Order: sequence, then C-alpha cells, then structure tokens
Amino acid sequence: MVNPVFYDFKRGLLRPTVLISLAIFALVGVGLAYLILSVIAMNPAVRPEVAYYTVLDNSTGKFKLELHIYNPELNPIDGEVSYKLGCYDGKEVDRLDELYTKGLIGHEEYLKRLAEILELIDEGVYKSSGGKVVVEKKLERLPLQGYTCELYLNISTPLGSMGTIYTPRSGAGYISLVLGNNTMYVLTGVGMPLRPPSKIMRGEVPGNPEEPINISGLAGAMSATIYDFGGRVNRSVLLLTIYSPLVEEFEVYIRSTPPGAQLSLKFVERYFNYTGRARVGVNVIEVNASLLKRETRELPGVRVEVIVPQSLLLLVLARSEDAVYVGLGPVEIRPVQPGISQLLVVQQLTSQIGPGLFTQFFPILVLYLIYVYIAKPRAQGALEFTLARPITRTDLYITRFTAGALVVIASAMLFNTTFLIAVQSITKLNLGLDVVAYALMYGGVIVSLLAFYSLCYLLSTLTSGTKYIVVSVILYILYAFIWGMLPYIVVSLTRGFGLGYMTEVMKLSFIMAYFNPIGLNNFYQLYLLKHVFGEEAIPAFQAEAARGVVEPWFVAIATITWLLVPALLGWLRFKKISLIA
Amino acid sequence: MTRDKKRKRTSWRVGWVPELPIFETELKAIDYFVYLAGYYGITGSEAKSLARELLSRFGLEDAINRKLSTFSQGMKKRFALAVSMINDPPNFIFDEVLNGLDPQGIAFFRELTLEFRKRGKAVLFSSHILSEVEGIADRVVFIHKGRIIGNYSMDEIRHKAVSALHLTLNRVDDAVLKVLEKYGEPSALDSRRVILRRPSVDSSIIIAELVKVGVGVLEAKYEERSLEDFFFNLIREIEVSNRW
Repeated sequence: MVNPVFYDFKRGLLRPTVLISLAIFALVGVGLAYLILSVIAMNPAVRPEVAYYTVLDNSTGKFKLELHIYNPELNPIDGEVSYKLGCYDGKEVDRLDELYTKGLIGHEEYLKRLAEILELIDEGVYKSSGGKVVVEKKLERLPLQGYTCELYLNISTPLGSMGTIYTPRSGAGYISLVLGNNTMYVLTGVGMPLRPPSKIMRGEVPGNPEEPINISGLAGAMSATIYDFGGRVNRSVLLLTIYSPLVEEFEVYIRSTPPGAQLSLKFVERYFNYTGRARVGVNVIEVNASLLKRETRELPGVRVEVIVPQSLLLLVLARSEDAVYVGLGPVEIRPVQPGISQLLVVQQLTSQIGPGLFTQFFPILVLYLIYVYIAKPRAQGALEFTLARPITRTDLYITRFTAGALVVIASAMLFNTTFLIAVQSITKLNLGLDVVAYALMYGGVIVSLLAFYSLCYLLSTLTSGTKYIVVSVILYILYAFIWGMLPYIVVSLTRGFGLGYMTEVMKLSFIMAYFNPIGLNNFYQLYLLKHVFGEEAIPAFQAEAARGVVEPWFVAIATITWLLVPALLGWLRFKKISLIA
Repeated sequence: MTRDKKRKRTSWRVGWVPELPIFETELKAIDYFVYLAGYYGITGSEAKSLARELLSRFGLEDAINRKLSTFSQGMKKRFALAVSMINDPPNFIFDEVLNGLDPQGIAFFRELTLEFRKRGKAVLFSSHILSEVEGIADRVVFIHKGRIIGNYSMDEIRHKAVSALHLTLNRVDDAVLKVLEKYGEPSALDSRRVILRRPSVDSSIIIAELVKVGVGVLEAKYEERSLEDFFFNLIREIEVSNRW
C-alpha cells in the first residue's frame, strides 16, 4: 500500500494549486521576515553598535578606515558603510557662527555658507564582510595646513540605520598628531552618535613610580564603551578602539572613581583594576563581572531593579625605555538585554506573523485537498472503480488519509523552513533555538492543520462534491476568523470593559482554543515562548489568563482528540456510505 | 476468512469493465494506471512498462499521456479493460460494455471475449444486445425486472428456439396433415394455411413430397427464431403463468 500512498501524496503535493499556493506562502514568508526585521529595527532596545579607527597621514596621503559592526549582543553583523572625509578651515566656521549669532546672516545663508566651506577630501561606500570594513587608499587630495577634518559616517544594517549629517561640526573630529614635520589625523570611535575620542599622551619616564607622569605631547586616540549584560549572564564587555603610530600594545585599567591625585605609575597600580591588554585597532575585552550598579527598590506593590547612574574611568598605559604613553578618559556603561533581538523575533514568530499566518490561511488548501482525495471522486462515483482493486474501503480510507496528512506535514515543514531561513538570513540573527523549540514551532502548525484536516475528512464522508466545499468553507471561516472574535464579544457583553478585561478575554480565548482545531497552535506557541525565554517573556495578562487553563495534559488530550476522533468517526461512516454517483 | 479478506481475494480474481467507467479524470492515463497497479503490489518502472504494454494492446498507445477527461466512452472502456488486466485474472465482468460503442468497439469486445473464452477465462457478459450474446456466450442467464427468469446453455436455447415452416396450399385437409406429420408438428390455421413446427428436414423435401401427393404449394416461408424471440417468449410464458 506504500505506492498508492506515495502516489496520492505526490499528486496532492504536486498539484498546480498546491504548488502555487506554497510559492505564494513562501513569498509571504519572505515578506513577513522583512516585517519582523522592521519591528526589530524600530525597537529602540535593538540597535547596531560600531567601533572604528581611522588615520590620515598627510605626508604620504595614506588613508585608512577600519570599522566593525555588531548586533546588540556584540556579535558581528554585516551592513553597508558609507563615509565622507570632509575638512574645513575652523576659523571660517567661527566667523560664520559669529555672523549668524549676531543676526547678520539668516539660517539658510548660514547653512549655505557652511556647506561651501566644507571640502570633500574623500568618500566611499563599502559592504562589510564578517562585520568588518577595511578601507586603505592613497588620497589624491589632502587637507590644507591648519584645517580641521571630520569623518561623516552612515551605517545601514538589518537592525537599523544611523549616520551623521555632512556639515561642519556634526561629524567626528580627527585629532591632529604632529610627529616632527609630519601631521597625522587620527580618530577613534565606539558607538553612535559619534563622540570625540580621548587622547593618548606621551610622557617622560618618571624617576620613580610614585612621581607624577610629565606629559610631553600627543601620541594617539582611544574610544571605549562598556556593555553590561547584567542579570543572569553577569558579564561585561569592553569595546575599545585605540590608534597610536608610536605604540603597538597597551595595558588596560578601569576605575570607578576619579583619581584624587596626580597620575603616577604607582597610583595606577594601586587604584586601578587591571582589565587586560589591547592592541592598536578594535579590541573586544571580556570583563567577568557586571560593572553596572543595580539597586532593588520597593515601589507600591512591586519590587523593581533600577540601574544606578555612574561613570567609570578607562586608562590605557604603555611603557617603553624612553617614554610612557597614557590615555585616560570616561567610559560609558551601556546595559544590554541579552537575547533581546532573538526575543523580539521569537515573539513575532509566535504572534500572527509567520507560522500563525500559515495556520490561519493554509486550511483553505487542506479542505481543497480532501475535496480532491475524497469528496470529488465520491460525488463522481470514481471511488467505486478504485475499490474494484484488491482493497477494502478501510484501505482506501487510510491510504488517502495518510497521503493527505503527509502533504499537510510536508507543506507546513516547507513553509516553516523557508520562513525561518528567510528570517535568519534577513535579520542576520542566529535565533539559537534548540530541538524542543523547533519541535514546538513546527509541531504546533502541523498539529493544528492535521486537526482541521481530520475534521474535514470526517465532513467528506458526511457530504460530497459541492456540498462538501460549502460546508467546509463555512467551518473554516468559523474557526479561522469568527472563533477568535467570540471571546471579545462574550466578555464585553457579560463583564464590560472593566479592569482585567484583556485577561478575561485571553482566558476565554484559551478555553475556546481547545474546541478549535486551528486554535491548538496557540498553546504550542505559548510553550515555545516559555521554553526559549522563560515565564518572564510572556506578557503578564497572558500569563495570568493561562494559569489553570493552559495545562500540558489538557493540550495533549485536545491534540489527540482532534487528530483521532474525527478521523475515526469518518472511517465508521465511510465503511457504510454509497460510493455510486 | 474475514469478509474483507474474501473481498480482497475476489477482487484479485475478477477483472471488471463497467458500462460507464468513472475515473479520477484529472489524471493522465499512465499515472492513473500506475496508481491502480500499486494496489496489486506492482510499482515503479514495472508498473509503467505494464501500463505501456496493456494500453498499447488495447489501442491506447497514443493516449498514454493524455488526461482521462479527454477520453471517449470507448477509450474509457478500453482503459478500464487494460486496468482489469493488470494481474491477468481468470474471471471478467463485462457489464454492458457494448452500450455506447461504435461498430468497431462492439467488434473489439466480441473478439476479445471469444479470445478470453479460448484461453479458458470466464467472462460474465451482460448486455441488452442479444444478437451479440448469441455469438459469444456458452450459457445465458435471462433477467427480467431484476429477476432471473431463465438459465440455459446455448445448446438448450438452440434446441428450444424452434423454427417453423409457413405453408399456403390449394387445400388443407387430413391427408395433407398426415403427410406433414412425418416431418414435424403441423397445425392448420385455416382451409389454405398450415404451420409446420420443428421441421426435421429441409423445406424443399417437404414441398416435393406435397407436390408428389397432388397438393398445390402456393407459398412456403421458413421462420427462424432468434435469442430475442426466445427471451420474449420466456417473458410471455412467465406472464401467462403469473396470470394463472
């Protein structure tokens, strides 16, 4: 009987109607992946991070820009980077500011003149690879002596875009580094908006470690941000970019309070915490502790954890035989919600986007499949000819049921897989789902569709031909669209729009979902969210509504009942019905 | 043995060609054939080559890849026949297969039935075209209003379906009837006409004998009775017996 099952499966799946529908669903899946992407990109909690350094050697004309892009969890992501290197005479800008402040020129004129002052030295658009862009080139045009240079960056990633306007003083300003007759423009940065980097100074080697370091000149630039993952993760990451033409490697220190005395080597050893080593370029340094101060505060009825504002100091230090290089500057701590982008994606996946949408609309194809397998040939009388083969009615019933069920399973798996691949490749996020999560995601869709399939199969034994189509479509509209509205109507009429309205609606929705084959998916999606992110990922009103109503045993019984009972009743009926047209 | 097992075994031993074969017509002939062959445990390339062989044998070689919905009534019957031959069963049911067929189609099924008979296969052939049945059947079961009213071998029918010689003479008297009694069962209709049932010799011998004894033979008409007459006669007999 394997061959007829396979053949029925093949002719079910390869029907133009099914194939075209699946192609449309796949396209919708890609569209939904973009929708999910836009939801993530618009969420303020999710934004890309950048770290870069750039240097322009005015004597050789060599320009270098190295830029790294990260997602909120500091994993590299790709994007498009466009930059402009603009230089201008700072005195000219000051003069224009004065004219504008005194009201001698209007705003439009001021902007127009500002634009005229800015001289474009170089520009480019690059796509990152492995989250990294490296631009190295020799510039034909160089800034004039005494000019100020700024870097204007625009970065576009799947998680959002950010950038700076190309006008004087809105870009990131280079530090001029004079080394003999040579002037180098150096700039480092971490994060957006662009902030001026901290300077790395060159000092003389002190006679003894307690002697303050005497600064003798500029040696480079550095920028840093600490990302605090907090919570259960309890780790911080220091993103640090350094550039100095004089030193290759630095020791990195962090301190929570400003130094109370002049900086000496002894003072650094005594009061700063050694964090690691950093080389010229972009450094990601793991700090095995949460550096963010958190306090638990009692508010009426709830306890909340709040972040206490604080500033940290970052110090980089390098020593050579004849000099000491030290950079000191404040460092921002930014709290990171681990897995926020994954949470947003999975929340979307478990909503009416994606598999939910498939479960909502694919049943129309399910009922059509049964029309093809049973209802139509039965109305025509074509099953009688098939039954003249050495098979029983039970064989025929099981064969076609299995083939149709396999088409439903294959279609659901095809859609889910296409959709997940689209989501992962468009958002560039590794969802990090385990086998159980995938089983819940795929299983929910498959179980719901098979439950509806089972119900329609029963229906095909009670009616046939056009009657079947009419009744099954009515049933589909009832379960897919009307059923979901009923809890709102019932709660509104019985309780009104009072406090806890949504909880009551949700509770009734859960109860009614047990009596809706398509609704079974809701339970599986809820368990998926719980499994991946824990109870806290579920909105409070939903968690409250599910309490005592959504239980694994109830869900298991509902699943088995929906899958088996209609199919068995259909079988009992099929054994007796007339198959003559 | 369970009912289902019996049913399966029976289906295995019987090939069925219905009067109006109804298929899942959106399928191609070869695909539907392969699908149905699967129920006989014949799969893949074996089923495909069997499909080509049988469909070609029954004149459907050009229609192998055509959808069944485009088939004429005759083609559908040939296709059903090809399907019934998948496992080459020893028995066949041709249920009113001749209905709706053109003369070629009728000839095709007639010859096929005769061929099956030669090969020792049993064919249950139902038809309203009794002239066709006459030429192919060994035994005929007559059904009237859903009831079997007769079950005869063709020899019995031939014997019972007697012929008669209608004679118009210049006179009919006892002497004439005495002459005729030697050759069959005479009965006088009037003073000039007589019927001789079950004549035992050729009509020319009977006419010669009558002329020899001085009887003028004005007209002689030989009446042959068909299977159809036999059937109607059976019906009449049933109706008469029912009346009594």
